[in-house]
Amino acid sequence: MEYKIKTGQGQTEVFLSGRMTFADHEKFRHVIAAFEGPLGHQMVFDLDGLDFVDSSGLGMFIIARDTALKRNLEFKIRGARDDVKRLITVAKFHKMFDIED
Amino acid sequence: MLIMAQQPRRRIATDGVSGEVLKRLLTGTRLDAAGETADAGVLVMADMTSDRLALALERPFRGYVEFRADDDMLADRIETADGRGDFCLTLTTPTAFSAVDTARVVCDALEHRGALPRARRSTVEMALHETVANAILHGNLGIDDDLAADVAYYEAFVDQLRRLLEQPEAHRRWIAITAWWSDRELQISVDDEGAGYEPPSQFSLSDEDQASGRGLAIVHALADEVSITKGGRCTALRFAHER
Repeated sequence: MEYKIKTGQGQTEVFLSGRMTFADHEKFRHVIAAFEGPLGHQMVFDLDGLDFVDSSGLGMFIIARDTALKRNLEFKIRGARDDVKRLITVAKFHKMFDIED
Repeated sequence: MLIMAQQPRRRIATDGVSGEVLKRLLTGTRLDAAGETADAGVLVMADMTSDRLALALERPFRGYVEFRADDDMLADRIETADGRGDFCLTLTTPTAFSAVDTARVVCDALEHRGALPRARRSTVEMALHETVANAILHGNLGIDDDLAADVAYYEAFVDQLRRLLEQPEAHRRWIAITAWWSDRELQISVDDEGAGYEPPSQFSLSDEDQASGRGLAIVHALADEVSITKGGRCTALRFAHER
């Protein structure tokens, strides 16, 4: 997994790319460290560049959401496609998250 | 007069392996290290990475075994890889964790061999990946992923994972992926060397807000049949080609 973080007015976008798997927990810790901002600041995971995600990766989405909640930030996911979108559906994660196309 | 038939010696191919070390490890067996050769059943490979293994998997070997200089079970691993299934890959836990994208390269190999139709690739790769992840994390590393589910313990989980991977025990535990196929179906089994577990009677993807424990439920949702044997140390998947 690779990631880029872009912070702007009112929101921080995290662009995830490649394959997000059980081998990425260490790297994901750095993503979580970027969860900062004033009350209501929005953290956005952009999955458009992500080719593959596994159940550990889905678990990281929950960690991200709960971290945002703990720090009074908003959290949403956008741009899932192909296999990533399919796994989110199979795992019923679309019922738990605010996910935009 | 009793005539004892001598079993023929079997040639194995090698890649990046020290000849002297290999010779020592194979002393007293009927295996011959032949170096670069196409007529062997098994390739023994050092320094496995996704790229190196992907190239090797395009060659027509039946079995692929990771080489470790301290592996005194190497001959047994080679015999198993050569005699079991139509395809077999055996590698250590740290290699399967991060050096090799295991499910992807195995699916590439199966596609290359005509065993995995393009239309089924995505389903098989997702299910195999989850099965391999389960064998590594819960099998060989014995990690408790309840910690991964809670934001308060996530840092501790990541630290625990790193420590477990650094321990010598991780390098002494292997996983083996074996595949069999026909015109009608593909079967893949994943064996680990962990403590095993008692599988639940039912796997379900509930709507509960859980960060872990979904892997095998996803496998059950994707594969046509899943069987867990050897006390939880072997998970076998079956995929029918017709849908």
